[in-house]
Amino acid sequence: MLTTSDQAHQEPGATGNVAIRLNKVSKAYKLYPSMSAQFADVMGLDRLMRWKRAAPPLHHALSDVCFSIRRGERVGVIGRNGAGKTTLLKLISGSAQPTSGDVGIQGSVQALMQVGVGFHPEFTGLENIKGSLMYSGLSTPERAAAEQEIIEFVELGEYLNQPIKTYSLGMQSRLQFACATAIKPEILIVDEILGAGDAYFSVKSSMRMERLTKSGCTLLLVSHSMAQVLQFCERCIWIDAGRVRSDGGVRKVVGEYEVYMENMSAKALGQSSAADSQGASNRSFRLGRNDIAGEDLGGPTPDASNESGAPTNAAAPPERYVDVLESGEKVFRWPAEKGPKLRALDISSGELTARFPEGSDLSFRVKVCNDSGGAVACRYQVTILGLDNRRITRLLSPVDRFSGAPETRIATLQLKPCLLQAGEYYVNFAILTDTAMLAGVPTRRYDLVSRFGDFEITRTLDYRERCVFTHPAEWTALALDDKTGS
Amino acid sequence: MSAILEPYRLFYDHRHLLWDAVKQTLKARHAGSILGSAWLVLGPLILLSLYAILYTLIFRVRPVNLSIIDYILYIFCGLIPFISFSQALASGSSALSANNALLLNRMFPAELIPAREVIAAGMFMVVGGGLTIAYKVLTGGVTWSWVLIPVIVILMAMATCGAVWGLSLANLVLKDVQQIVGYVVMLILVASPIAYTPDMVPPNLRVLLYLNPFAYYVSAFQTILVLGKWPSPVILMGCIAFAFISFHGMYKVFKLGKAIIADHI
Repeated sequence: MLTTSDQAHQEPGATGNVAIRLNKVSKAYKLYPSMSAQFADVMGLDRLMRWKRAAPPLHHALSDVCFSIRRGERVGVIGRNGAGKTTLLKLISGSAQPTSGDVGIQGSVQALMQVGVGFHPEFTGLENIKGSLMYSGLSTPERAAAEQEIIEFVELGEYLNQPIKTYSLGMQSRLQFACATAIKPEILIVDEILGAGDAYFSVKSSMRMERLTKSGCTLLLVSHSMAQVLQFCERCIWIDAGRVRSDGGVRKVVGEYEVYMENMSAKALGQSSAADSQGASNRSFRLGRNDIAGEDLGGPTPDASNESGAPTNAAAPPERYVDVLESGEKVFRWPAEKGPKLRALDISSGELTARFPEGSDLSFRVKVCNDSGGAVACRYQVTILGLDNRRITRLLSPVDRFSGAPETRIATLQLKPCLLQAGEYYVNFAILTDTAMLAGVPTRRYDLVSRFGDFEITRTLDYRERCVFTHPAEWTALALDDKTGS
Repeated sequence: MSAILEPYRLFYDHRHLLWDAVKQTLKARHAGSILGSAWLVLGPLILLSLYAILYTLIFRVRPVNLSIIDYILYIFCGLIPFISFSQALASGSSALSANNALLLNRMFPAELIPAREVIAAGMFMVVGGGLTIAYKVLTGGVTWSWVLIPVIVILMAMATCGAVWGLSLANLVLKDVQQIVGYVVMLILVASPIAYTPDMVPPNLRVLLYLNPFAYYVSAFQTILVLGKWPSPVILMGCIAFAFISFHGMYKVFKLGKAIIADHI
């Protein structure tokens, strides 16, 4: 168990609360020309033959990484392949040592980097559960409880008494997943969340991961799925080429990363076929943005200038940029055509803002300003999303017309009542052309602002599992009476 | 002082985990077979019977000063530790490279992975030695020198554990180690007084026996069990010296080398 503590570099007052602290951590791997050169170097023999070969070239997996993570914080680590994410996890888990700088860890670290630890194909399911739990760091009574819990989770019944070599792949992965996650870590390190099996089990696995990550442990999650990072983490660190490129609130960093990735793919596609750049960048839009902007936000133009006749330029791909609303809230705004722009969004219910009990009447007041757009016919669109990045509902307004003179308007969207059940939500807002979403007509937009306007719906009934929304419905109950016919 | 005690504390702190892991390894070795763990006893029994038959009925060579039974006992005293030793080297040297999932998972100290293989391999010695001792008890040959048996066993385990720490680490960066180990084990078999006694060796070659660490442990067992005497101080000192040098030296090497493990798996 790793309980290094390097207090020397910690600011006073922060000590007790910090679970992970990295101070100017660098990690370089030597790239050896051959196995024997590696062996000679590791054994210190290279010094004996210094005249013979030059020092091996270094690969800097991480350079000068500094950050600290508070106890109980849930942090996502994102970045492209080879950016140094796994190296970072290895340093924190203690299975690798930094080349320079120091890694301070407070608490026991458990790494969920591989499933099937301690599994043997000839053992029965039950034996494998026992064998694998041995390496889980649980005490003996905890193991007995965990074993029971795994048996219930995997729902394998009689199969548990068969050797697992007879299992299907799905059954095996179910068992391995359940065993790997039967842990009670103080600091949990996860390299890509593991799913298991069919739709039913992937939901079950996801709930299990959620319970594990929300058990109060400090979480460090490496993932390529932004939806997972958004679902499990509150903070996010973006590693790029071995350096921390961005660190902060999960939505902010994920947003920045997505913009970056879209640019990357737009560039790649632009290079691959200049002649087909129109189609290519259209495609890239579909591929890259289905998460956020996709066709449902009005199939936004691949590049606003493109639609207005300017040639698509791969070097200047569409880029989301940070903008500030009147309220001071920082938002991501996407490039769009000239026209009406959002200035403010205000969500309220009577006196309340930000937190509303279920069933409240919600009103979304949107301040839209048409400074320079000329005469415009447009439609507004509010999309409400859950924290798991799922679109809950899309609300498209009727056509609204601006005469052309500079003008500011307040558009109000009323949900009477709001049917959403308890949870945290946020909003994407778009101003689209009046022909938005008509079949066969390319949709263009005047404005697109994503992931802002957070609000929370609080529960009024004491249920445990929340649903998405409360459908308007009518119940009737009639007494069964044999004389009803007469 | 505490640095010296460190490896012992590691073993003591993780004794339950280590024991469970050894049981698991042994179980895995026989998993899927009908007789299962019965092979743990059956294996040594069959092997030793075969050797007994081989040497009494076929080879029929024996030193003049030993009876047939004593000669078989003499062979067993060398053969049983040798089988355990070679098993430990073979499975131990690949222990780290074969268990990288366990290394990353972190709940099992890396030092104990090779140690687990050594203890699992030692089971042959426990069973085989147990059978040999049982025979001696039944035929009445118990002497005071027997109190040294567990001590020698532990010293040999320490020496082996040290060797396996070094080999498993080296095997991570140089896969050839596993191949080399096979031949080194052969060499040790030849250079150990298992089927022959030291006085059968030409005097000018006898120094080879003294260079072979394994020979000291074999010799100690033979003196105690076959002759019922106390081993000579030279042999005892050899047993102790090799055990502590190997165990502590390699523990230190392993601790330093652990830093590079993750870079090489």
